[in-house]
Amino acid sequence: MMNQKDNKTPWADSLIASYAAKPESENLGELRFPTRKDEYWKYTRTNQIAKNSWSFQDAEISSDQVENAIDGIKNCVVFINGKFDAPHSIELPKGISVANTDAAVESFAAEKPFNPFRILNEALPQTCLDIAIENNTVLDEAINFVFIYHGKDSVANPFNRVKIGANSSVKWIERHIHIGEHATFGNVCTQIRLGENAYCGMDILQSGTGSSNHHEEIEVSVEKGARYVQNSFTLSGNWTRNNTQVSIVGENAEANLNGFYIPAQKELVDNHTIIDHQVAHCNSNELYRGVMLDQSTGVFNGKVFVRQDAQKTNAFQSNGNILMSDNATMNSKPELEIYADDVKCSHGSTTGQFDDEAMFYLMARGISKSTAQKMLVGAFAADVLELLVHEELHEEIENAIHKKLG
Amino acid sequence: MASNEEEILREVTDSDYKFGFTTNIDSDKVEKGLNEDIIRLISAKKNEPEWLLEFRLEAFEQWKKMEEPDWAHVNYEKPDFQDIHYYAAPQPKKKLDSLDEVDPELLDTFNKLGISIDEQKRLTGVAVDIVMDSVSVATTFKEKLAELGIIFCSFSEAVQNHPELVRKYMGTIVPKTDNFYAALNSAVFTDGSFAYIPKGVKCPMELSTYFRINEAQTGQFERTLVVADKGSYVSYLEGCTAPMRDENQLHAAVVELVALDDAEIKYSTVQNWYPGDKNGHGGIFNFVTKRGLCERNAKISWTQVETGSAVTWKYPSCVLKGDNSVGEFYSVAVTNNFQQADTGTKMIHIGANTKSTIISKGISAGRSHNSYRGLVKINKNARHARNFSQCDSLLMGDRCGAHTFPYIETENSTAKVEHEATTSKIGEDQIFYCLQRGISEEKAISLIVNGYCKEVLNKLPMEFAVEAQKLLSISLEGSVG
Repeated sequence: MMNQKDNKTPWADSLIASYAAKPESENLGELRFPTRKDEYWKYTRTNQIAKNSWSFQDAEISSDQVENAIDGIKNCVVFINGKFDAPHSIELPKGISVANTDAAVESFAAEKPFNPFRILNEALPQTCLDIAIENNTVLDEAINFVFIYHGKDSVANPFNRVKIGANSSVKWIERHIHIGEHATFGNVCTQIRLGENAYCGMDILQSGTGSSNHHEEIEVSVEKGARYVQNSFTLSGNWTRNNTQVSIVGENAEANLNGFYIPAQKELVDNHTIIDHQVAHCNSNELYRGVMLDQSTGVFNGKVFVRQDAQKTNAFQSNGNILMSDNATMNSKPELEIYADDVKCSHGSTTGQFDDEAMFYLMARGISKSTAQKMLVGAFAADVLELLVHEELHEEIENAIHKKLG
Repeated sequence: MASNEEEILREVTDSDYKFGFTTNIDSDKVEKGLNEDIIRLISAKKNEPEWLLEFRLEAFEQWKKMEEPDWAHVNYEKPDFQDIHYYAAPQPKKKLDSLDEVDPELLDTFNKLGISIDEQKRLTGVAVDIVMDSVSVATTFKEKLAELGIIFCSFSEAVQNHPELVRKYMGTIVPKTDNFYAALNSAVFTDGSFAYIPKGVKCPMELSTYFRINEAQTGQFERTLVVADKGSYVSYLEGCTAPMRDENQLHAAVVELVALDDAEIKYSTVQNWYPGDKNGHGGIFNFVTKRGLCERNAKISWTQVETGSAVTWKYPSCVLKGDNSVGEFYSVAVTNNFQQADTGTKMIHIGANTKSTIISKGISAGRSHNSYRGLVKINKNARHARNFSQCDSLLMGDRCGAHTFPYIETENSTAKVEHEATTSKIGEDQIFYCLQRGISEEKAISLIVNGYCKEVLNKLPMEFAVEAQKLLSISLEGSVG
């Protein structure tokens, strides 16, 4: 290609130098962040992150700050800048273990990652959260994994490995909270392996600051008869990119990916999903909704692969967006790649604004414009909120949305 | 984006320019290969004005620096651009004495399409003694059009007779360096069609290249320019349902439409070029750039039925520049055996209250791949813009693929954009229902497919639609069982 400007990462070398163990990944030396010429990053710039000089920070964080961040959250397992924080965490239930690490941990994936964010995470993780659930086990109580990011130019690479045995059921909440006024960069990777007939339910809440950057990669493989549910809520944060890739490798399995995002000011939220139907008789559902305020940008790219052997697949995808300001942008790209004939696949994408008549109806009844807006956004978000694994989060998220609408 | 790219290109390619070669070759067939001399020669043969030669040379300079795009969801062996004759005077076809000498398979297809014997003779190059209907028809048509001030002629004639019009509009919609194949076309195009509809004139008949018998062999680098002046209307037909056994493997055409204020252009295409044999050998590569510009209150409507070609790569687009302008895209793309099609549209909303509709129906059978790739872009100032897109795919057989790649970019809060896509196969119950009533499976499929494409076929001019329906059935022959 002509004149392609690489997003060089000059900080990578000193980051590697400050890391205790020498990473083996040979790719890391020439780490380049993607540019908008990469199809996969067409709508999302990474140059701000590539330019900043990131380092591992052990900056002081007061107990108050942590408690403030986890206020009202029960059953916390806390990570601060990627490191496990025992004092604020509950005793870990059986099957869950955490290790602070300063060496690359073994990934579930057989292939080397090609995404530079993943390369960085794999080579330089600070912690490894292992969730290994034996066969025939039900973990009923919801655990909150709270990841706190703070400190000037701090980067954190938490790595989570989840293995759920056959016929087991697990659910948890993942919270990513960026605090303080400094630029932070959270670079998370979660790998999930679901055994036969297992269930995994996960709600993700992301909140950030005006200078936070958050990249989250979730890679799931779903075995026969298993069911995977993931709901992600991006409530704030300057730059957020979520990549979710689900491979359905066993028959009669199901994957559900849902999300809601409400960027304001100059925030950007980018959700990329890939669902790979490799075998027959499986279902997948996706519902992503977003409300774009001010000068914010929303991106959705949902890809559904149906391979030749994946007959009788049902794959549904829906992406709805509301632009609340003339300076907001939404880029939506729902994709289907289908190689099997006996399938039902559909996707829909809409971008628009509130129904004037609905607004008029409410305002004619003496409801103020801002309350009416809140009601309508609430109703729009409700379709996603109804799918929450942990119903108790409903109110919390709704409040956060209302707060955002001002 | 386009202008930005152009700027970059210009920067990169700001190298020196070698003028000063003249060539004295005087044969009717130029040797293979592509270089500046060949382009000068083409231009000289066609007695072109200086500015057009400049246009060609500039395009060629840029083309040399471009790379062949590979983002489309198609696989093919890239053509060798030095192994093509870029100029050959129209070769008189070998005249046959009777239809008996024609490939019976071809005749069979003609009969199925309901093409008259005279027409069949003309299409296969059989010498005919009687004056064919269409010739006289063409002449009467030309007279009638001239009365209204409508210009409809070959591109070369237009360059000679109406250079001011050609110069004003050519390359304004599809810049000469728009993309790899458009640049190639701009450098070496040999002929094409030109139509100009004067202010306020409603063209009384469908303009069709079909009637321009002399110009039937326009070659592989065709260029079409249709200009509808303020308040005018024209319906333009391109192509022909009859199978075209063309020798050329690569076709890279450029089509530019200009709809000035309150004008309307309806552009219909039926493409049925040789798709290669059942094993995927041979067939035509069809890489076309088609784009239209709508000024205030103007409307451009693209309708296409694509059944031929081994590889199709085509995105008829509308730039909705003027307020209240309308863009439409109706498409049926059928792929069978080893055909590959990557087709769709771009709707660029710039003006306020602009509207666009996209209806795309893809049918894949055999081992073929059929992709819809489209862009809907609502610019910041396109207040109250409206788009509706629907992309349906029908799969027949478990070795084929149907893909959808829509890009939806919205930058305005008053815009309404909807996109939906479905993929399905023909229901067993539908087939069963037909079989029960004594309709054979093949007929049943053709019935169902035609019903599935009805929304698009309805947009075609009547005679065209009838032929297109038959064409669909033929294209899908042998895809069941």
